[in-house]
Amino acid sequence: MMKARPIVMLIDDHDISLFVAQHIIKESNKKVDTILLPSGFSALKYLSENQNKVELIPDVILIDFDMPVVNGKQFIEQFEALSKTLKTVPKMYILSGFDKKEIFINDINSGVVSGYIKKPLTLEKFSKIMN
Amino acid sequence: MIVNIEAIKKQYNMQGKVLKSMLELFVKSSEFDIALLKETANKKDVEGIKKIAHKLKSGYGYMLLADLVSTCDEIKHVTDNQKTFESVQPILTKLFELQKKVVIEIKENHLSK
Repeated sequence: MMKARPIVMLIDDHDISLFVAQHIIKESNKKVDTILLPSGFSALKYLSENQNKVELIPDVILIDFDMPVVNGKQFIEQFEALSKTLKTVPKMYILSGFDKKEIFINDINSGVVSGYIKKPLTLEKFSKIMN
Repeated sequence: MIVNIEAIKKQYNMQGKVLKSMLELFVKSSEFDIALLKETANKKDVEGIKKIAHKLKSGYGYMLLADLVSTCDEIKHVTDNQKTFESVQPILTKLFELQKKVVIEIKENHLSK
């Protein structure tokens, strides 16, 4: 089954962050579907369960770094292994309130992470990712 | 005015019901986290204080509340360096006062209408 529109997955335990990100995506007029998840754990579960369904795998993942249960760093480590079994590998961006990009430099250099976005997500930042 | 509602509208291209929903969500989640922070402060759990302050910072950032963001940064700095409850206590008091003012302002000026 073909994917009708690109899928953006947002992973954040913060309600406002998910709310604003969803609004920004809507306002951007980009024709995308969104998946909102509150934790790295639920995202890994989703990806694992749908790994053979190309139409359900997101094209872009925006993940908060500081979360309980499975945080961003743990998600990246487990995603790296999981991505080898996925039919298509999503582009992953770290979304964080931390000031220093250097904190994530090893993760960005690992090749699994495509970039870092300083919170808050704005129309401009989202458009840059999607372009 | 502490809350710059016009800047929020501009930043997220947001108004009307959507803006009101965001403000309601902010009040609800920040009040919940502040209650948790007070509970954690009573236990003098410095590491716990640092984590909750970081979560609060994210919400304050979305609300463009620069003073509260920098107060959370101050908490992080002090908890990272001095690691004692006594050193972070005055900053927590400042945070609670600012938070209270912000919530009153939002409720009175933007949610009661």
